[in-house]
Amino acid sequence: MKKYLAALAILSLLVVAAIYFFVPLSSPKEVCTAVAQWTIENNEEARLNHPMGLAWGDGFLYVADTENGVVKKFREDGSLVSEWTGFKRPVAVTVVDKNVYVADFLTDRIAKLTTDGTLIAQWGGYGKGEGEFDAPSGIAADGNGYVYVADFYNHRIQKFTGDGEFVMQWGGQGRGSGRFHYPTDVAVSQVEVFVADAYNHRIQKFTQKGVYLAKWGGLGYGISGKWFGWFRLAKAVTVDSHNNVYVADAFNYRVQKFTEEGELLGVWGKSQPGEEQLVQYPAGVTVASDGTIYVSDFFKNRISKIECH
Amino acid sequence: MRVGLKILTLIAGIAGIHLLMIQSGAAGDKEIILSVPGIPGPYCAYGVEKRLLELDGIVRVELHWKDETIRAVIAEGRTVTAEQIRTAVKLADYPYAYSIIAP
Repeated sequence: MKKYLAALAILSLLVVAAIYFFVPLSSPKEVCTAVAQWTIENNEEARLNHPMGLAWGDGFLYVADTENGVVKKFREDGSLVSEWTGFKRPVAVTVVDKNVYVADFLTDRIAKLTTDGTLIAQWGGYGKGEGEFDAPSGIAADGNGYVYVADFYNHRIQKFTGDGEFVMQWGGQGRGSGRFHYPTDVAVSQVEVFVADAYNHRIQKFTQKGVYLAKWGGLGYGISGKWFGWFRLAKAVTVDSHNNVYVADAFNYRVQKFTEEGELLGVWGKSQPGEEQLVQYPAGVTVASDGTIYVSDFFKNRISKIECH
Repeated sequence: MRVGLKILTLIAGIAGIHLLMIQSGAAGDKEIILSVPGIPGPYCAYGVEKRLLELDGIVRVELHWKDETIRAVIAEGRTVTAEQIRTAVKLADYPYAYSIIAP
C-alpha cells in the first residue's frame, strides 16, 4: 500500500513538474471588453436560436443561426439585412471574394452562395471518401480562393477549390501532432492553417499544404485545463488581418487571443474563479476589418462585440 | 448530487432499454425520447441527432435543451428498435449517461 502511495505521489509531482517546466503558463497582455450585445431580448430582428459560426465580410456579419436552420446577414449596428433558408444545421460560415460558404452539419453539404444569398453551387454528401463528409463542422477560405473544411467525424481537414473540386486532405483520428480528435473549426491566414482540434483541447497550425508546424493549448493529447493558454474544448478559431488567432474556449466560457505563434495576448469571458460568466458557450468567433471581435453564445442566443486593447 | 443523478440516470437507462415501447403520440406519430441529463453542448446533441436521422424509419429529431431530451419521430408503420437507438448513440460517440424512455 505504501509503495502505491509513494508511486502516486511521485507521479503527481512529475505531472506538476511537467506542467510548470514544459508548459508555459501565460497571462494576458491586453484587456478585452464587450462593447455591445445583440440578443433576442434587445434585438427582435435577430431572433437567434442557438447561433454558432460567424464570418465577417464586406462590412457585414454573417451568422449561422443553427437551430433556425438559416444564415443571417447583419449590418454592423445589428440590424438584419437578409435571412437565407435551405439548411438543416448550418454550423459554420465563411466569406471570401464576394462568396459565402456554409457548412451544413446534418446534410454533409457545403453550400456556396453570393453575398445576396443566391445559391451558386453545393458539394459533399455522406461518406469517408475524397470530397465526402461526415458532419462538416468548420469552414475557412484562403486568399487564393481555396476552401478548407473541418470534417468532424472523419477527423480530417479537406481542401477544395472555390467550386468544390477536391484538392487534398490531412489528419486522421489521434492524439499526436497532425492528428485530430473531432476537429470543429478551421481558420486560414495568408500562409498558415489553424485547426480547432476540439477534443484534443488544442490548436494546431499547418501550412496551406497540410504540413504540421506547431500546436498549443496546455499539454495537448486530450488533456484540458482552465489556466490561461489552455482549453476545455477549443470550439472555434479565427485569424485577423494581423495574424492574431482567436479561440472560442467553450467550457472555460471565454475567448482567448494569441499571436500566430501561440503566445497569449488577451482573454474575454470568465477568466478567474468567482468572476461573472459573460458567455455561457462561445460557439463562434470572427474579427471585422476594424479589429472588432464578434462572439456567438450558443445557449444565450447572443452575439457580443468585443474589443481588446 | 451530480453523481447521484448520473447513477439514477444509469439505472433508469438500463430499465428503459429493457422496457422500451414505441407508442403513438397525440397526432398519431410514434416517437422515442432520449433523456440526456447534463448534455453539455451542440456537437453532442447534433451528433446524436445526425446518427438517429441516419436510421431507416426516423423522420424527424427534435432537440429540447431545457428538458434535456432528444425526441425521435418514427414514420407511420415503421419500427425502430432500442438496439438501433443504442447503436446510433454509440456511433455518435456520445460520452455521457443517457436513457431511452417511452413517451
